[in-house]
Amino acid sequence: MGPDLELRGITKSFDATCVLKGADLNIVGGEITSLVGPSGCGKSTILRIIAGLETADSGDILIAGQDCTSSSPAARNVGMAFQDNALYPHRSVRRNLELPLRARKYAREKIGAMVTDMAELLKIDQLLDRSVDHLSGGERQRVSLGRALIRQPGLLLLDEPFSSVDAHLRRQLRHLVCELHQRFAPTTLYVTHDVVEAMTIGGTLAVLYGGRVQQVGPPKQVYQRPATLFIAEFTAITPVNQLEGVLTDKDGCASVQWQDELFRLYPEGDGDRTVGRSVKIAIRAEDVLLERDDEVCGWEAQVTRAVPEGAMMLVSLSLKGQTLDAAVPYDLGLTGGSRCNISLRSGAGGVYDAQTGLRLGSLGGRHGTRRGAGIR
Amino acid sequence: MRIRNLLLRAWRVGWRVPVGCALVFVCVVPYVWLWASAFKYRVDMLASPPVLLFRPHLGNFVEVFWERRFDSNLTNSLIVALCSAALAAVVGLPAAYGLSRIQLRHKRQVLFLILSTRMAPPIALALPLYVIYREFGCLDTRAGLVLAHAAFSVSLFIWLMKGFFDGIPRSIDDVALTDGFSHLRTMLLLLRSVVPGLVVSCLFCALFSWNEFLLAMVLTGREAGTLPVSILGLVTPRGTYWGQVAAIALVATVPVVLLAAIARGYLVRAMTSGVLKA
Repeated sequence: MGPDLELRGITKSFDATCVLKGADLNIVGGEITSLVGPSGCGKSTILRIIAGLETADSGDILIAGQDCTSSSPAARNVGMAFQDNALYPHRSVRRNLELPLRARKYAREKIGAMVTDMAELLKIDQLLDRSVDHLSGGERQRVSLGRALIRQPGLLLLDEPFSSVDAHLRRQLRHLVCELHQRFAPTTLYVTHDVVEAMTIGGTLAVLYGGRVQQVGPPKQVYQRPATLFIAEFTAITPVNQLEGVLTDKDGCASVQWQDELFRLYPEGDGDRTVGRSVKIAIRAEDVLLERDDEVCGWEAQVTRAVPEGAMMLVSLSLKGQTLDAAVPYDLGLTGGSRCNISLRSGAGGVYDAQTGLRLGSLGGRHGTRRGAGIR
Repeated sequence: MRIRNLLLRAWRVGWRVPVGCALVFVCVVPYVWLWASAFKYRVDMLASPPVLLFRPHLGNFVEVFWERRFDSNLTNSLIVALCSAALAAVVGLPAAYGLSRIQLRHKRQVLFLILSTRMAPPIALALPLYVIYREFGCLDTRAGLVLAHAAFSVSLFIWLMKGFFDGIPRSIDDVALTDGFSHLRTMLLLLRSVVPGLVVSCLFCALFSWNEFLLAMVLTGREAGTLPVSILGLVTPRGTYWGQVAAIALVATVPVVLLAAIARGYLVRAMTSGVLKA
């Protein structure tokens, strides 16, 4: 099983641009952690710093509890795979798999056996003598994974390895990564900007933004309880509705006011929750529930636009002069102009500080209504 | 209408014909003159108006390479050209790779500094070099000339090869370094991808040395003189031996044409890989 990995206060600037401003990250040995963040947030830089290809301006890197901040890439026992595969050009698949072992001076007979094993595992044994210049995208990625894993490194660093292959192949390759991980169990850091991929592959999700790791946790927790408004938006698969509200106090109970509606607030975290503070209520489009009849006591809204988006229909609604997006199944048959009742999924809305973006709590039911009507 | 269009088209295409002919004339005629002169007797050579039909003979070649022993100059030229290109490659390859891959604080300035060695007129360097070579006893040696030529062409080599290395994704280096290869081994791993560039760069260096006249004239004499220098010996107080000059010049162009023909494929590949694109 791979070693524990710990990053402490990593900073890195390129000329005048400060990319990392004190990133901390702890990865338990043998686990897959997905590192997500928008483009240009420093994900690849962190990976290169861990591999020793880039030196951090300050901060420490500990692998298995040992300070490796200034050791060479070769000494860190790291395997890497990249989006562009970075295969050794003009060489055969076999040669590509052999080279990492030759660099570490393995015995000739052992190299042959290890290459054959790895090729069988990756189902590329029939390609061994073909030049890597004549492989398809998927095959190249398999070779690239095999090359990263063949000397069984303690750390496996994957930098958006599948972003240039099609969705179907990506799913297969993701599955392959998980299989290989089960077998070799290296400590894996998987960098991607695709949240769905990150949540699928990683046992732990780490979100990098503004030069810092902003939240680390199981994917479900990060998705359901984002630590900041940015993470709420970034991890959302459907659009996020943002409503502007104010913190109030109703009969000694923390509440949020949006227009003339008053909601309970279930406090979370240690943000500033003084009364009168302006907040943003973030509700994902999939958490806006919609019925055509009057069964549910919620709000009545009018559909202004309905466009298909993937497996769902994205509906824009007009409610109290504000536009709300809702993701609904196709079979509701909504079109522009139709009226409907809407409600919000219970506990799905988050309340965030309007200035700092920190999460203050989750949105509870409406005050003054039976069973918190409007919230299901 | 149709006639007008035809005339217009003829005018548009027509101007290219005389311009093209003039260009070909300027480029080709000196060569034709050169090749013809190499086979002419001295009488035909100096005839005015020039004779177009003459009796060819090989006397000029025999005289130059057997009687005047200019074949040693030919050997010198070959050795100096090959060795200086090789030396430029040995020194220039790691420099080009390093400048392509390693982050340096003042990389642009370093690159400019390297290029600036070619900006000074060669004569400004030839005289100090002469004095230095005299002190160290390197005058009129092949090794001395190889060193001087390599020093001149290494800047071109570095700039060309840096461009070729820039075309290879850095992630390959990253993988190689994490795999445990040294920077030098990584460079050698990448070498196979830059073979066209390497061939072309070496060719340019060898051609520079082969054609170079000034440094060779200042730094060499009887022993290590190259072909271009030997031509100088044919300009005598008794007149210029034009036929022999032409014979040497003809011999000097043969390897260049041969090399260019062999390396043509590489040249095209190097050009299409981006570095030599205008």
